[in-house]
Amino acid sequence: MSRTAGRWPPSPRTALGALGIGVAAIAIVWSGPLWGVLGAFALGSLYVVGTAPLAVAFGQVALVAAGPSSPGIVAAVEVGLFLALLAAALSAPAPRTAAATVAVTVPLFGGLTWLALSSWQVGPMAVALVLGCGFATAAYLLHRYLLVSVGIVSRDQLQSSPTNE
Amino acid sequence: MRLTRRFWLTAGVALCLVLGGWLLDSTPLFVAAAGLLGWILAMQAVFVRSVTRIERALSVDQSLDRSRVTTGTETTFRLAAAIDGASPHFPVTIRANVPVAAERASATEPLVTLARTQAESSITVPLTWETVGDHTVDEATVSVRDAAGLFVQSFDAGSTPSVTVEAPSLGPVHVGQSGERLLRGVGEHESRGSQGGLSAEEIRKYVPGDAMKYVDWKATARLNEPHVREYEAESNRQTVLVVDHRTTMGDGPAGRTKLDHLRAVASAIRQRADADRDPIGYLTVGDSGVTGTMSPAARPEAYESCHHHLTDLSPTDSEAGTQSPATTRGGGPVTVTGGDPTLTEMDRVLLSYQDRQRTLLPDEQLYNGFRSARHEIRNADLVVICSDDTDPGELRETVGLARRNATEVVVFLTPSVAFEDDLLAATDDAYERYRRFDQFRRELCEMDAVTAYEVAPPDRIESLLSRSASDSRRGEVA
Repeated sequence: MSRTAGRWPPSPRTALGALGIGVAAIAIVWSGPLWGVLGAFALGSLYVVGTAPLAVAFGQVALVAAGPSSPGIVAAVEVGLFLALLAAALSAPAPRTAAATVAVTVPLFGGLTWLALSSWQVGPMAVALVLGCGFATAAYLLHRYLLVSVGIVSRDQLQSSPTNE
Repeated sequence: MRLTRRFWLTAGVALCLVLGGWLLDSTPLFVAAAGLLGWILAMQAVFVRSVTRIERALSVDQSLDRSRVTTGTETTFRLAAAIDGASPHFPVTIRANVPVAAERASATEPLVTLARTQAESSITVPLTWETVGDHTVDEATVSVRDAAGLFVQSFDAGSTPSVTVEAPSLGPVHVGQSGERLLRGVGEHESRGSQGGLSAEEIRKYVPGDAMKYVDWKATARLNEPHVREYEAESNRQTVLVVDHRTTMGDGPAGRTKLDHLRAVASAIRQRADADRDPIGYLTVGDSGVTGTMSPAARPEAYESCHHHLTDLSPTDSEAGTQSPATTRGGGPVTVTGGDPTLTEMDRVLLSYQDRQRTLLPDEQLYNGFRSARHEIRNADLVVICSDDTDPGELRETVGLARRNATEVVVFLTPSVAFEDDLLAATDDAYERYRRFDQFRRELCEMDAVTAYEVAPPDRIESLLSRSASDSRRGEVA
C-alpha cells in the first residue's frame, strides 16, 4: 500500500448510500425484534465510521438474525444494502459505467449463489470453493491485464514467464 | 497492482460470511458473501479501466535547466504532469526519482498530485549536485489509487533528463601582454641559464612573448618580418616559483580566483621543468609571511612536493598576518612594525634603505619572504613571481631584488580589475584601471632581464579591450 500521500481517504459516502442504509435499518427495525433498533443503529454507525462493505455484511447478518417472515422486509433490506454498494461505485471517475458494472456483478454473483444453493442443490462447501476460486481467478486475470496495459509486463515476458510480475 | 488493507478487510468479511453461512447453513449469508466478492471484482474492473486510460492520457515532463554543472551548483528541476481531456479521473500522484547525488535545497518534495478533476500541475525544486559524474533522473513514479481505497497501481512515466556534474575547473587562462595572448607555451625556454651548452639553432618568426634580445635583426631585415633566433641546448636551468597567496589572491568567483589562475600558470611551469628535468624550487608567501619553501632540486620527489604544495595553496587570512614575524637572512627573527599606524609613506621608504642587509619592510611579506629566503632560492637561474597588482610598490621592490640575484625574472600578474564581480557595470573605470595595470607591467618589463605577463580570464580581458575599442570609435565619431 502506498503511504506516500498520507492516510487513505475515508470511504466514499453519498446520499444514495445513506438512503440505502436508512431503508435497510428501518426494515430491520420493522422486522420485529426489540434489538432491531440497536442493530439498525449499529448498521448506520458502521456505514458512517467504517466502509460500505462492512455495513452491508453487518446488515446481512442482522437480517438473518432477525429472521423476518415477510418477503417485503427481506427485499427492502437487500435493496437498501445493494444501494449502499452501488453508491460506493458512483464515486468512480466514470460513475455510470461503474454503477452498471456493480449493478450487473453483484446481483449476478448473489443470484447464482442463491440458485446454486436453493434450486440446484449444490453443497455449501462446493459453493464456497467455486466462489473463492472464481473470485481469485478473475481478480488475478484483471491484475495481469492491468500490468500488461501499463507496460510493466510486456507480452513477450508474459509468454516466457507467466508467473513473472 | 497492490492490494490495500481495506481490500483484505473486505475480502475477510466476505470469507467470514461464507464461514457463517456454512456453519449456520444460511443461504442469505452465502448470497451476501457472493455479492461482496462481486462488488470487489466490479470495483477492480473499474479501477483497471481507469488506470489504463490514465496511463494513455498522462504526460509527465521532467526537466533540468542545465545539462552541465560543476559540483555545488544549484539547478532547477521541474516536474510537470498533465492529463488530456477534462473528464474526472482517480487521484494521481507523480513522484520524481531524484538521484541520490542531488541534494534538495528546500524541504519541498519533488511530487505532483492531480486531484480528481485537475488536468495539470507542476512543481519546481532546486537541486544541488554534490557528486561528480553523469546523473540521470529516472522516470517518475506514477501512483493511482481508487476512491474506495482497495487498490493502488504504480508505473513509470516521463522524460529522463540527465546532467553532467564536473569538478570546478578553471577554464581557459589568458597569459599575455597588453591583451595579446602569449603564443609560446608557459614555461618553455631556451637555454639561458648559467649551465648547459648550445647544440643547435634555428630562426623562426617572432611571436608575442619573445624577449627582444633574441630578435635576429639580420634575419628580420632580410625577411622583412621580425624573426628570433632559437637556441637548443641541454638545459639545466634552476627555476624557483615565488607564489603570493595572500588575501587579495582570493578575489574572483569561486574556482576562478586570482590564485587559481596563477596556480595554473605555476603548475604549467612546474610541468615543463619536470619534462626538461630542470631543478625546481618554490617559495610561497601568505599574510603571515613565508608559508613554504624548497630549494631547487631535480629529483622526482621535488616535482611531486612542488605539485602538492601548489595544489594545496589557498588564500590566507589577512587578520592573522598583520604582526607577522620574519627572519633576516643572517640573524634571528625581526619583528616588523607593519601594524604601526604612525608610520608615514616616507618612513616606509626610509626604512627600506636603512641597513638594507638586515631590515625587512613592514607589511611587505612578499619582499620580506624573498629577501629572507635561502641563497639557492634567491640566486636561481629563473625566478618566477606570481602575484597581483594590489601593491605595485612592494612588487617592484621584490622584482628588483630578484633581478639583482637571479639570472632572469618572469612576473605573472593578475590585474585586480579583471577579477571584480561588477566589471560590466563599471567598464569605463575598469578600462582605466586596466590601462594603469598595463603601464605598471610595462615598467617591470623595462627592467633588464625581467619579463612581465598578465594572467586573467580571457573573456574579462576581451571585455576590457572591446570597451576600449568602442570608446575609441565614439571618440572618432565625436
